[in-house]
Amino acid sequence: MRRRGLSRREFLGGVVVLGGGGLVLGGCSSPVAPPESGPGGGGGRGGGPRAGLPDIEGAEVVLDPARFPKAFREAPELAKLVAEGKLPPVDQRVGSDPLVLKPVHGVGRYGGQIRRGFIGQSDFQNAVRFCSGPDSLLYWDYRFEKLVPNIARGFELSEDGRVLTLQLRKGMKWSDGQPLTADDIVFWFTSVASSREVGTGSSSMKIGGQDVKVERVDEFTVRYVSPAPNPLLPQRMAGSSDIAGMAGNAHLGGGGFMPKHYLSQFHPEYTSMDAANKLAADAGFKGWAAYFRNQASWHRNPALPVVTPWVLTRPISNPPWEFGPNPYSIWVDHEGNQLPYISKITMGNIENTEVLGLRAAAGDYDVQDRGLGVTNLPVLLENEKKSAYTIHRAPSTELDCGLRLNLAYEQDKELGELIRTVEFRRALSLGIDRGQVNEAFFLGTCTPSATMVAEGSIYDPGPEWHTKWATYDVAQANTLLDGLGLTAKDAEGYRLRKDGAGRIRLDFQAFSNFADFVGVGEMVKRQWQQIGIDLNVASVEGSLLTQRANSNQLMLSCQQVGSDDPFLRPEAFLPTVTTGFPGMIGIPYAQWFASGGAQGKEPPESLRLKEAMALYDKGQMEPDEAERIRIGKEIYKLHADQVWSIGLVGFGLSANGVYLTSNKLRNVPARVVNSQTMKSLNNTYPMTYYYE
Amino acid sequence: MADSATAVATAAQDEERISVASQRQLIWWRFRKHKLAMVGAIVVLLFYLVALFADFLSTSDPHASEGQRSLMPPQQVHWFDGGFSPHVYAVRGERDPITLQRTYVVDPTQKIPVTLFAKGYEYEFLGLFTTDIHLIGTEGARAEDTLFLFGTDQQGRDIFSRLIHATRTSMLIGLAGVALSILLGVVLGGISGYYGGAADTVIQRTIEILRSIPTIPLWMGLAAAMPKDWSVNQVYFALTLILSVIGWTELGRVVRGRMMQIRSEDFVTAAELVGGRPRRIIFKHMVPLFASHIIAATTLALPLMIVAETSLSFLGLGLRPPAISWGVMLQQAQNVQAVALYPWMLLPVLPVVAVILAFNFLGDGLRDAADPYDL
Amino acid sequence: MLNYIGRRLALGLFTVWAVSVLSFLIIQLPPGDFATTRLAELAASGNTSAIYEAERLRAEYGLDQPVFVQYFTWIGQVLQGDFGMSLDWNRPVADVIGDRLVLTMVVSVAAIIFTWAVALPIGIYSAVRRYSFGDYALTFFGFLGLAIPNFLLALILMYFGFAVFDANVGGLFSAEYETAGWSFAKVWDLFKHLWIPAIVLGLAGTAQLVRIMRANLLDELKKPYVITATAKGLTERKAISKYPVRVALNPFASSIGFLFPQIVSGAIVVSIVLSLPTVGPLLLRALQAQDMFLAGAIVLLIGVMTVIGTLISDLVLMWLDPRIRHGR
Repeated sequence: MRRRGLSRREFLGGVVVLGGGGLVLGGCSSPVAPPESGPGGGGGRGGGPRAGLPDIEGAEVVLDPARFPKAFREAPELAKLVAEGKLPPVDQRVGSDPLVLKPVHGVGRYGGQIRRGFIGQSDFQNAVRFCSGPDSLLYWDYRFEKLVPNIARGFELSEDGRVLTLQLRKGMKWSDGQPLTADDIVFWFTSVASSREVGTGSSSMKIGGQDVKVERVDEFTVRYVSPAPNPLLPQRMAGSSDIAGMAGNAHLGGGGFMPKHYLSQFHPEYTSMDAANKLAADAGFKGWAAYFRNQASWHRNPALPVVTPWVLTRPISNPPWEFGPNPYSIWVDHEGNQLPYISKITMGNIENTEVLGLRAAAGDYDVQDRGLGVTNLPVLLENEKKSAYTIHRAPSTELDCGLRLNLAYEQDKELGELIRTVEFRRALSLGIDRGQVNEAFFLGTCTPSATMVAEGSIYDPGPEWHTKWATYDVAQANTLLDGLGLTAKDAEGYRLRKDGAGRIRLDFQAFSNFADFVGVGEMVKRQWQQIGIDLNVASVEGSLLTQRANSNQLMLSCQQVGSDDPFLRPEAFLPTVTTGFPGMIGIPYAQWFASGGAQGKEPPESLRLKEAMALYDKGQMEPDEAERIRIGKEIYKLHADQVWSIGLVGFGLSANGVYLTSNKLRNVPARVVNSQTMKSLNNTYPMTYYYE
Repeated sequence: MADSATAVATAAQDEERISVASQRQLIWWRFRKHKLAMVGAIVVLLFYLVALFADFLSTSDPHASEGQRSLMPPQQVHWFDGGFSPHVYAVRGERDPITLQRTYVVDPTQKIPVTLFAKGYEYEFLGLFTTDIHLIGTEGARAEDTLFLFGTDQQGRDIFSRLIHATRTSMLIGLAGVALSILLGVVLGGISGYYGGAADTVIQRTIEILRSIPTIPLWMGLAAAMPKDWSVNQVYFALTLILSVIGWTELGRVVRGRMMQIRSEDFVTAAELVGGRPRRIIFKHMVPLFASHIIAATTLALPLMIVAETSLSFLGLGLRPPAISWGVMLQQAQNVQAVALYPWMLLPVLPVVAVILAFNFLGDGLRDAADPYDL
Repeated sequence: MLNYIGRRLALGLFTVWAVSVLSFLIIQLPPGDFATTRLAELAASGNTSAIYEAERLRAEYGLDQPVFVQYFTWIGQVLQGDFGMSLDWNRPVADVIGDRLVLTMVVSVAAIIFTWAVALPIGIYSAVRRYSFGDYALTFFGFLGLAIPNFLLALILMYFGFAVFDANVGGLFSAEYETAGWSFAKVWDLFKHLWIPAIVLGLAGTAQLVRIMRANLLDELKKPYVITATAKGLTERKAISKYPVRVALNPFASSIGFLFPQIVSGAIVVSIVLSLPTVGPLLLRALQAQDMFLAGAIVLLIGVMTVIGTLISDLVLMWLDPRIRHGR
């Protein structure tokens, strides 16, 4: 499909005049529906239709004011509070610019609760991905094709891509009834985002190494001024970056906005250092910053004013983790019923995913996605009738499994050089039978592929690139290795090192979380015997893997490869991350690129990483969307040709692709796009779920 | 009359025989009476034989994987076809598009004979020579592709062969740890009990401290602190040694108690008066008195080590894949799917149970036999 | 006597101190720290933008300081009764542990009751009817509990509980009672969940107790006073239960003190499989996350309990058996 930049005329074409005189700037980045994707068929970023699976569907964000409801209704328990005088009436609470949804199947009824399970303190994303709305300023439509207004009412990007103007919703309130204004965005930007103590330190608010400036235009308008074209800023706000919503990011210092009226009391700039530290000490925290971050945690602090459809009523650290309805929720259905319909979400703490799977099979959960994997599928399917739930399958837009190489590996000089040799990497890739991996570990639900976007995605460079150096061809692999002069072999047929230190033995360390990645390593070890390459397979704890990545000790590993967008999610296949396991493609190189050559290590020309990074930088600043997509395709082609990571199988179910919903729940889409960027299952619109 | 005379004569012979028999003989005679212990001894011996001849006994390479035969149920062996001719039938598998399970259909037209001393994968026999002869195999087809007596695991590897290789790892790996633990227990417990005083206090405090530290943190800490380039087997071996540094405390306390008891016996005083050095007195005169206890402790510590290994594999601290041990295999089976749909994955429980029972009965028998006060 | 208790207490304090040092060192042994764990978790959830997080966590909690400095800071706080803040839970350590302590005790007591109820009769029977079929059968059953890896037993029981009996799966409470106040219904709900952990945990210890009981009783049965008693015409039942069983119970008394700490640390695997809200899984998770304040507190707690347990055991033994009182 074709995507292009937004001309001024088109932009104006989308402008609608409301009664209040405000602008609704919906669907700006792609006003033309793609012709080749049928109704509900997906396509675009979400990948095309899948055989045997229903079409993609979802609630529609109503942008036409003519279809807006005129009167509002609310849940009975909130109506009771209004009657008692404890809450203002519902029309005052939703404000004059509500976020109107047309639920996928119909208008629902109020009441009931959703039971879920979560897997310990590290699973804070659980609720973020289910009941946070999401609370990003902008969001994608359910087809993952165009940006839509979300917490913000609309946006406008200047033609050169340098100025982004956001409109906020008039009369919109935080969950404590205080108005949400431009000051809340400016507060976050000036006092939180750039602080070492409470900010994230990410580059989301930077372009070309320079800061984006945030200006308050009026109470409900904010302007983001970039020193260079920054056309992807709106997409960053809508996706999974650290500026895309408070729920998942505020405790780390991100979010894009924060309740100034509440959080400023914990911030020394607004009180005093002594007062802020004393507050923290009284609560048992070391220093104001630790306390501030705790108080800004959506999942930990019930007193934090938020904008999500549900608000925290019981923190994650005192299970069960619970949410109740936000009386000031801005989501309403097209008939004016304030959402959510369901008033309570309760999530039990499960230490073990096997128990979680069993409880799910027993029908103890009404909606469950976290912790369920491909391997659970047969048991879950077997109990579908008995426990009255439905299993949904949502193939992802990314690779479920790929071998990651550390291109900057130095510990063993000879092996490091081999890894930096393209023929060697190609041979390794050709020596893997991806079909086997798919059958044994993913129940055949994935598609064998090089590191690549999903077929039919806007960045898809064409089918031939999906199998580039990614077929199973032992003969060619051996020819390539022989060509490198690695012809001497030991008694067992393994190729020998040139320095005489025995056979070529690569080092593989992985952690089995989303799938049996260590098992994949075992299988690859077996397959590489045929090309004379030995592999040492080790299973390592996740934090240890991070530690070893940081000290540049990792050589090879196996993980999911986030690969659906070369500019928004480059970390798995370009050296853009300077720390931790995600950066393992080459942390010293990433440091070199991030610091403009001041730190880290310069990658050799032969690696061609510089070319890819130049394309990446260029694409970031390319206001013309068609050109940007072309550049994106170039990056994928270069990656497939150079095999910087060895994609194995993808576009399957291992990343949040299996979920179940109770048969009593209504408004559950038959299939949704499964993408980290969409923060699935938020794109099933749980606030529209209801019980018959 | 004649009968009773013979009986008396036999009794007298017995008496004679017993009074001249060495202690070892006495123990053996008594042990033989303990039927269950005999069975236990034989079973343990068999397990060690399996460990020794693992490659010869297995039908295929335990690492040979094939996605197309993932999670295949155990094959039925047919013994007769006209006459006695053991055989299996070829199996075809495909994935059910609805349930996503692999289903396997037997193809009765393809008969694969099962034979003894068949050719299979190559291995080194006891490190002596290379051969490809295996006890069981197939004719006309590679056993690795056709013979799955106990079914296959997720990666399509033969569980029967893996089980046999796991026996080797699991039966051998605890030995060193147990040996060290007994050595430490006897020496330190002995010193503590024999000398008393300051040595006793120090050793007793050490025991108390060691017993107060939960083992899990210790394992986790040490497992993560091991050098990265150690193989899983090396790491695990090191850990068993470290575990034994803690494991000796139990035995240490017992030895100390017995030591203190025996210490005041006349024969020890006598030995001291003759000028025997403490080391000689302890090991020559005192330790044999509770040797039975030490033997029993050994036979009981080994199964505990095996159980510990299975638990630790579960936590990701014991042996890990690609090493093959009972713990590793059980760890791969400890999921709902295996219990519900692929019960053959649970087969490794059987040898664990068998070996633990065998060791325990053996230990019981040995203790009963060696107990000088027993009737 | 008082003198003895005083001396033991002083030694106990020393032991606790040594345990605290050792455990803190052990917890710090793995490379990396809590900040690394945090990074790894964020990475697993797709977040790569929290660049400052690791560095400031290290600064705030002194994770970058030498181990001994960290130790003295920590132990100094502990001595003032402050266990600090759990890094992983962002909650005071005392609260996090406190929530789970009662339930841990409940599970432990249930398991101990199960063990004793099964092991003592089997032990007595197999000592009195030595080498009988019953002895073999029961001993076999006892060992079975030891031999089946208990995590697998837990999983199998749980699955069949669900598939055959529609029983509750895992945990100690149904969802509706988890936050409810204590009521009869909640206690009943607890009972319905408790049987699986009690059986699984209990079975593991049964074999050990059966052996001890059998061996001790056999020793006693050979003693002249039993023969005298039998000779005087006491019924077998009376002759055995009156004295030998009592004496044979001595070692049980001596192990009472150890039971609780053993169950806390020994039941970790089962507690994880069954998803029990007890201290064991908390400890494991704290260790994995390198949350040394939480892990340190739990290990210290177990250490203190072991020391007190040993002391109580010795005192109980001295009280039960006058010979030991004068033995030293």
